[in-house]
Amino acid sequence: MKKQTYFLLCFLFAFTDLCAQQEIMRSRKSKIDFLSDAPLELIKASSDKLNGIIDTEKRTFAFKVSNASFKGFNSPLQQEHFYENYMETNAYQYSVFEGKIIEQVDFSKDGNYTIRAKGKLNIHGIEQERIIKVQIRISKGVLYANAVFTVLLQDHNIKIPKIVFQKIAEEVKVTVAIEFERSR
Amino acid sequence: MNRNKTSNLSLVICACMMFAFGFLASGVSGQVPYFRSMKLPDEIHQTSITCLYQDNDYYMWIGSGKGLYQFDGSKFVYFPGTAKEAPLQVSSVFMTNDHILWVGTRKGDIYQLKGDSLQLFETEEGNPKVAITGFAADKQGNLWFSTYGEGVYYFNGTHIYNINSDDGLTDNYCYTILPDDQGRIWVATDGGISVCSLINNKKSIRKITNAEGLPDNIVLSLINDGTTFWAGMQDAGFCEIDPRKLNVSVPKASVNWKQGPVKSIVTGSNWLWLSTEQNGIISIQTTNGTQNGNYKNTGNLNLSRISHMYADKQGNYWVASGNQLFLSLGQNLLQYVESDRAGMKNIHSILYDSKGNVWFSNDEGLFIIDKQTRKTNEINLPLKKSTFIISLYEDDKGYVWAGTFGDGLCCIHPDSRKAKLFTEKEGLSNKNILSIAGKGRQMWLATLGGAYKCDISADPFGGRSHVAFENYVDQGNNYIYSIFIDSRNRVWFGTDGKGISMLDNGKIIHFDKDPGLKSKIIYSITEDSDGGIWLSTANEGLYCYNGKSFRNFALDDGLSDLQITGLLADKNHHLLIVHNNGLDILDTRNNTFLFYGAGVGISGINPDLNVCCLEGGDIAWLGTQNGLIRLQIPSDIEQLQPSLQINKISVFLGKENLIGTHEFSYGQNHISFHFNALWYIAPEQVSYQIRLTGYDIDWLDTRNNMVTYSNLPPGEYTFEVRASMKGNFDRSAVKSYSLRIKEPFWKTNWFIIISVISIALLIYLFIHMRETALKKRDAIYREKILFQFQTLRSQVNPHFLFNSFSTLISIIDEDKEIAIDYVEKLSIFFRNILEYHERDLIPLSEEIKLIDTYFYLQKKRYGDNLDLEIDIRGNAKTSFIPPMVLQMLIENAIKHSVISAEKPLLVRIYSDEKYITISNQLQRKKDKEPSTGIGITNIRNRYALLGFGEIEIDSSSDHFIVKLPVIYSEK
Repeated sequence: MKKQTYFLLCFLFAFTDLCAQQEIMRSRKSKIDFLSDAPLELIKASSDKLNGIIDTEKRTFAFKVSNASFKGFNSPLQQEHFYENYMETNAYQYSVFEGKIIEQVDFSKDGNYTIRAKGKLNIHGIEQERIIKVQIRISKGVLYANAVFTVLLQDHNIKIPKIVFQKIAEEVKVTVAIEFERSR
Repeated sequence: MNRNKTSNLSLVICACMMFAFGFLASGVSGQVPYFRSMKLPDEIHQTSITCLYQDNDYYMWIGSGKGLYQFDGSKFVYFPGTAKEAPLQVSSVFMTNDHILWVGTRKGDIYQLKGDSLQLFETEEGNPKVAITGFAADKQGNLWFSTYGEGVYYFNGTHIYNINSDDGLTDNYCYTILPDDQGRIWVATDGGISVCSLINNKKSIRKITNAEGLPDNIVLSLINDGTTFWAGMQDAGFCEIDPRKLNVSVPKASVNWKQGPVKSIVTGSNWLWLSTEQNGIISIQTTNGTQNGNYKNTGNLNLSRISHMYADKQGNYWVASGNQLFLSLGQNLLQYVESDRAGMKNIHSILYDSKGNVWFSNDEGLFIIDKQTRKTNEINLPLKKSTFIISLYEDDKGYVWAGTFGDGLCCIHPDSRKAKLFTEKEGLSNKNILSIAGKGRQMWLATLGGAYKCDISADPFGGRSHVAFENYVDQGNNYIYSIFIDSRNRVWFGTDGKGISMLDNGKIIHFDKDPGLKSKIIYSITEDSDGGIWLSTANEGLYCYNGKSFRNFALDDGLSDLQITGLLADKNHHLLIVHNNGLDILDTRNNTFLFYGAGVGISGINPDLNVCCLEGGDIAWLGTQNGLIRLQIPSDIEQLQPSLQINKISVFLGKENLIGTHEFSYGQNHISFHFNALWYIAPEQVSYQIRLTGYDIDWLDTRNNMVTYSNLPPGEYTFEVRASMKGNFDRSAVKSYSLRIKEPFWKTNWFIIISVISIALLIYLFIHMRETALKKRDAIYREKILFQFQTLRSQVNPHFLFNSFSTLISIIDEDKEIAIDYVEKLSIFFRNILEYHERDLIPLSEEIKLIDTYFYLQKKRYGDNLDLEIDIRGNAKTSFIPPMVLQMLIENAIKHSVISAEKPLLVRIYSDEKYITISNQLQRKKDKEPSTGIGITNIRNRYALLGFGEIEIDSSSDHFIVKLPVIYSEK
């Protein structure tokens, strides 16, 4: 009796675990770019270290990127400024966006959708609620997501010295392209 | 358990009673508001109206499944959406303080009205995918909108943020959204009411749900009546919510609600209208929470599918039902058009007694509508059936006195409702009682046989002698239409033909000689709350007596009609003037008029006099040919005036709206102004006066809402417009728009100044150049004369002649032939000099000939020691040269050089494209021949003045070189 219950429990746990696993999608490939297009200087960098996870059942998600993983600056000096002065990567290692998808989407169906992700965007240690519009394409169990959004530097308390102000736009445009697959 | 049961039972009983009461209320009294059906465009007729909204400019916006319409009272203007979604399925409309109109659709898109077109409002966050159910603005400048399925959003000007159930919103399915005076946003959802606010950008939500006492969590409608919130629910009727404490209280009428979902609410002064799906409109008395009316389909009136109700800023209530739109004064105007007992036609007199009962008489007799039961009962009078009651009065003890037309005066006992008749037997010699007035135990009757003073101190039912009638008949002044006792106990008599008379402390004063009072026939008298006495006359309109003089009010002053049948004065300084066309309400403090006519349901006014009375100080009862009207008199009619706007300015009748532009160019002088005074009750009555100061001298009357001024000369203008419903513009607010038409550029000061300066400059330049040219010509002339003189002098130089003659002498001895030749050459040379000296230029070939001759002469003297080499090539051959230049240069060379067998002199003349060059070796004589130096200078000047360029002289090397610019043309 006891043994049986134990087996049953084990089986149930395994099963639920399996079920839960089915709903999780993990990023397998990603690219995140940002662009600050100020009159005097264009700053551009990108990272492929963006990690994401989506729970398609609960419609929740979380994204995380290491601030120090951004590469491709115009000059090493620019990169140094970005790391040390603006993002303060030593203090704030990651930028995070996590929350919930507003729309009800059937992630098992192939197709193109526009969804809105509502969540908390944490950059430079400051959390701001945001809605980010995402174009997604689901094809053969792979989810391709693309999004463009802007980040107001002042929203995240990223301070820029007055002199450099001309060099950095108050708004930074962020472009994300990421692919998800069901985690096994 | 037991207790529960009893409470349930009591609820059921209560409900039954409520139902019965409701039935009585609606069935017996027959009171109905007036609904005017608005003619809608065909497109709306095919669909249904989804929302109604009045913008800050008082325009009505009508959202439907077939697009958005703007309504100004007379015409509907369709606003198409973009190609993406056409026609728009409009679900909500809102205007923010910056005058931007926001339109939400069922598909979740948001549009902004810009100019004449709707533009999709797009943000980074994207638009919702479910219906936008409402908009609201908070005090921080955020625009909120509720959705059906995604909660609420707010837009802070940059980003859109969402509040949904994850944030604590009661539900994501929201029906409406409403701000309160603290700046919080109330959201009605499927899960209750959420009161949202942003505190330091943090979302804060207070919930009002079942747990807080909300009878039903599905809240379909919300309204704020200024002090409190009312919520309409799916199943549980409606409830009141205190906006401070958020306490819920359920009014009596909502207990055990059976009327279905309350989809929309509007509020009045002390009433609510609730719209239901099946049961029409339910009116609630907010003072006691009971139902006081239920209005359903009657005749053309279809109130079974009410989608939206809306209270506008001008006291009108809009009801959209199905594809119909109605305009109403709401519960403020009720008509009593049918009754179980009495016909409601041809009301002759009306009285609202101190107990709240309504007395009225018609062709059939005298009736009373009981305040409690609302039943109509007939009063049995000891009269013939054909006798009309034409005046009613309640004395201070509650006896009601009814004056008949021909049969005397009846007194009705307050309790038994028994009547007693007073005729000539009691001293009432004239039995036509037109008006009754009284104060205390004194009563006055106006009859066709003068006035009667009655002492009613004793019980009227006591005996024959207890009421004494004392006749006041002034000579020939027999017809008295009305009688009135003012606050100072003066008795006023309105007579037929003798004007007005006043009895003050036993002394009668006649005003028939007063020049201020033109009419001698006075129909009605009343006193306003400031003590002014008001009279209505047969055909001269209205008079106000302030104690000294009479002031007339007629059509020009704003009165709608001169056929005045009754006057009432409320407690708020208003005078109500009942006339054939309806009702004018005059604010006696500022003489503003408000007219209510057939457009709001006041029509069929009786020609009978004084068929009107007051209930309390602010409700008027009017008797008409079609029944009774009960009107809540607006407390401030100054607010209820047409709303005037200048809403478009166009140039050359173009489509572009240039409002906001105040400077126009000279060419844009064909300007149209579009204006509109919105008054939905009676749009056709609005007329305008316009004036363009700087152009028009006086106001111009117009009924158009557009005016075009063409060929306006440059200048400053102010366009002014005012609107009135009555043609009385004195109190109308003026809207103005200043503009300037700029001077054409050629009339501007700077242009004139620059022009004058440039012309002066040109003249100066011309004079200057001319002077220079003249100077130059003078100089050339002088140089030429000088040159001629020099050449002549040099050639007639005795030295030359002496040398020539010496040479000649030596030749004559040697060879006669050569001598002759020599003399011939000499003569040719001199002839050439004479020939050329007048000319500016000669061909180079001629000069060469001349120097050949000259050289021949000199060669004879110097022999082989002197040589000349001429090498002129190319184009230079045909060039020109000032006469004698080469000759003079050769002469100079010979003059200044040592010429001997050891040092022979070679003069070379050669040319290139630019220069003719004369060159000789530099071998200066030791004793210099006196040189004037004029020769070279003169040549240089001549070349410069004639414009042939600079000559170059180079004596730096061992050669003396003169370069003359080649002159190719004689010009």
